[in-house]
Amino acid sequence: MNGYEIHLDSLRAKRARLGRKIGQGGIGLLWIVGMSLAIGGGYLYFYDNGPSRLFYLAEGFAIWSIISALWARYDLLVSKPSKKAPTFDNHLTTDLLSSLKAPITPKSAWQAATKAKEGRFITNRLMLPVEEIGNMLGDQEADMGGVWSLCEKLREGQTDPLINAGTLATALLLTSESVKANMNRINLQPEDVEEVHGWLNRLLDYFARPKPYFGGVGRDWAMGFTPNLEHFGQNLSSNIQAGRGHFHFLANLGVVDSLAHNLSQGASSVAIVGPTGVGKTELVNALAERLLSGQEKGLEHYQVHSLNASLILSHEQGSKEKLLLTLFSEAIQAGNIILFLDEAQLFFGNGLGAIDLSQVLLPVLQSRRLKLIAAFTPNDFQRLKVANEALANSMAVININEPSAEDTRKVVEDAALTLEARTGLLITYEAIREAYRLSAQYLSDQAFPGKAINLLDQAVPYATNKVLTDDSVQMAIEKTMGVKPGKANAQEADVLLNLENKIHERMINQTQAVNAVAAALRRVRAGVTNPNRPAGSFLFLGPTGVGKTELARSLANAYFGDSTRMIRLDMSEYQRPDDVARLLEDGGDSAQSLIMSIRKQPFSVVLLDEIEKAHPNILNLMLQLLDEGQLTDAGGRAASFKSAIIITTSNAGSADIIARITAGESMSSFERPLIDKLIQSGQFRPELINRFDDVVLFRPLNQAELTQVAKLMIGEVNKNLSHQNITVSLTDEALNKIAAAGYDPQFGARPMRHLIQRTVEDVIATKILRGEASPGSTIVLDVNDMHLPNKEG
Amino acid sequence: MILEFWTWWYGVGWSEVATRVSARVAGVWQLFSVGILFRTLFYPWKRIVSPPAKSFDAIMRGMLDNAVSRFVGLWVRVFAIIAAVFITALTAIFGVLLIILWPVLPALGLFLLVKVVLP
Repeated sequence: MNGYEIHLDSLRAKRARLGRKIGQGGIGLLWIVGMSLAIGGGYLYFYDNGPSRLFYLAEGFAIWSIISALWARYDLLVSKPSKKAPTFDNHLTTDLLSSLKAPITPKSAWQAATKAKEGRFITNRLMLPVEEIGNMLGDQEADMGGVWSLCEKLREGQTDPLINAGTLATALLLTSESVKANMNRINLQPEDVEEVHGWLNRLLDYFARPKPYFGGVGRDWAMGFTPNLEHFGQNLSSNIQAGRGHFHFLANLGVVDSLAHNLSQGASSVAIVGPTGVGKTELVNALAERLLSGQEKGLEHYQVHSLNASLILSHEQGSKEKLLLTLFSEAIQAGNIILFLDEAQLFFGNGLGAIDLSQVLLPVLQSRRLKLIAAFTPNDFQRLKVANEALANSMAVININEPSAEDTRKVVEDAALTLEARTGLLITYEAIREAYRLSAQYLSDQAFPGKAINLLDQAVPYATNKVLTDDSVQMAIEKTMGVKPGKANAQEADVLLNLENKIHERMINQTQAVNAVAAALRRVRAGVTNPNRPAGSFLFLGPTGVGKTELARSLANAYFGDSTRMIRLDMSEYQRPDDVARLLEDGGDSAQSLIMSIRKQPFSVVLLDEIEKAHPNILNLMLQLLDEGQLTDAGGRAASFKSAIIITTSNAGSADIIARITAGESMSSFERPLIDKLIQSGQFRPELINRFDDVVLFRPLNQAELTQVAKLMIGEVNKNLSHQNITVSLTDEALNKIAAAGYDPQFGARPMRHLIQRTVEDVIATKILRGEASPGSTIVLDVNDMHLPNKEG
Repeated sequence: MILEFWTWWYGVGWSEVATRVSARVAGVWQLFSVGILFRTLFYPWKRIVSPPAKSFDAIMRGMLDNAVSRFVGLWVRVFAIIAAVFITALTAIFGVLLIILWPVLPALGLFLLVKVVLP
């Protein structure tokens, strides 16, 4: 413990403990008593027409009460370290020093640290069981050497040089092997604890900063009135002055420097270009704060007004231009206004309900009298460049990139505190980590940090007991996107583990294909897939009517309980080059747009039928889809397929399959040669085939399997009749006959459904209408009851 | 501990009260933005000015309007500056009194308590 002596009997320690005993409550009480006695004494003075003994007593105690309050507040509670004393207790905050008790062991230090608010910040964010961890820590004084040593290292990143309770709690967690092992079991790593410690320090730094000076009462008296701007916009600077400012930590702070530099050094308008969610609005808020506090020469106390696009666009048609001119003129006249057009594309004719005001804006910008910031996404700015190059060129461009993962986490952590203040919830570190992970995986059409913050916001309704956890975030993404990111519950796990059996309830044979897709779905739910590719991708090869489509439908039905949870596109409808655009449509509600469908249902089975018939450009898109797990729409927004199982089907090579199976060959013996043949014949490109997780061959069904298919279909008929409590049963001979008649060498078992409709269902319908079938009865049909085609007769 | 109190009261405590008083006085002065008021003393009130005109009458009327606006601005600012000086001075006087009284307060408290028992 060399160099780490803590003297709990030092004067500073004693003062700290006395201050703790008095506390903020005691100080308040001393003030109230002091002031009451002073006023009461004054009253006695006038009542007695002069000083009485009671007056002296009251005033004497009043003065000493106030003196005691001052001493406690400004000395005992702060109790600054002595520069002369070299002992280690001088490196601790007063609050921590006052809580420590001899002997100082890891266990007693943990109790002291978790009593203070900084220590509780660490344990609450990490959802740690305080008492349980206390029991795991050692009770040897000698063990504290390593703890204090780590505390010294941790404080290197702090602005405040003193070690606080949060730093001590962090060091205790990181130096105990048993605690680390226990945290590992709840998926917490040492880096996570350090991350929360950094979060605490940024918060303490923020509170320690002096309040900025925004100019005083006469600041705006030499500037013009802005009644219309107040009505059609929002004064971001006023919000900041009222304490509703931006987050404490901002990524891309250099952009604020560039913005301020551009606006103060000549450029009258600036376009900030970055993807949705990257933090453009927050950076403008940060600029507003900097200008308001008078830090920027040439723009001292300028105010930023954000124009409300929806209010302006809802203005009477034809008068919008006039209104905008009035607003611009007001901003110029006021002399201290910077206008901010958030989602500026709405003012330049792009987007739903947008208007084109570029002709109004261009002369104003070219006159350089109006200071303006316009926020664009890269695609919107590109469109503006194409549509009106002069307007785009009149603005200085600042590009904003997505922040690093480290910066993103910091922004989200600080945003979580703002969310906490708004909602009264406690947001745990796990919730933030999960929001980051899930938004990276599923919200590919937005940028960080905005998408993680939005996800946290959406998770608020799912908080339990006023705490927002990773479960709340998982629930939010499940409800909003239909994906299942959380752990499978017992019932779901049972379905997953028996998925093959569930699928075979609707599907006969094709075991290899069933096993492959079931395993893919299990991998998705267990979270062991490559997060940057689709959950599973398969090419099903085989003749028509052998169950390729049925397998996709069965999979959707078995797992989602609904066969409509399948996105099915017939690729024979996408044979022309311009069909690519139809597939990637980003607006409206087109059923033929793959992008729109996957955005609605990211966690689904995507069935692309007859893939070989699609245009080569679409096959190129498939390469991107299978490689990156995403497609980009016409507007440049990505749509994620990372939670989807992609199934493509093709009849290519089916003649070969039939011939070889008929010749008695096993599927495994000709699988590879068949695929090679398809590549050599140019029907599939090798790069496409190689990108699938598996290429599965479907073989034609034999007679026995066709009879089972017939049985399944009769089962469906019975399901439809169940509400009438009528059952239909076929004799074995009838079933065999239907199986034989329902098979076509070209279409496989596909005609069977139609055959059952014509034979079985029609006969039952007639019997019901004739009153020959009553509730509770079973209709047994033989070959003679059905009018089967002559082929089988 | 008692020695600690006296050391603080006549050492760090006294200097801290002086620091706080000066910060409070500066805060009040800043609250009235006196620097900005002096800099913009003759500026028109809220930029209410007539637009440039061509005819002699309009120019003369504009000059009169602008002069009125500047006069209003001047008066409001002068009043604000006077208010700032008055309130800052009051704050400073109370602050200086507190600094002067600070070393006497403990003795005054003791004296009053002694007066309870002594005639």
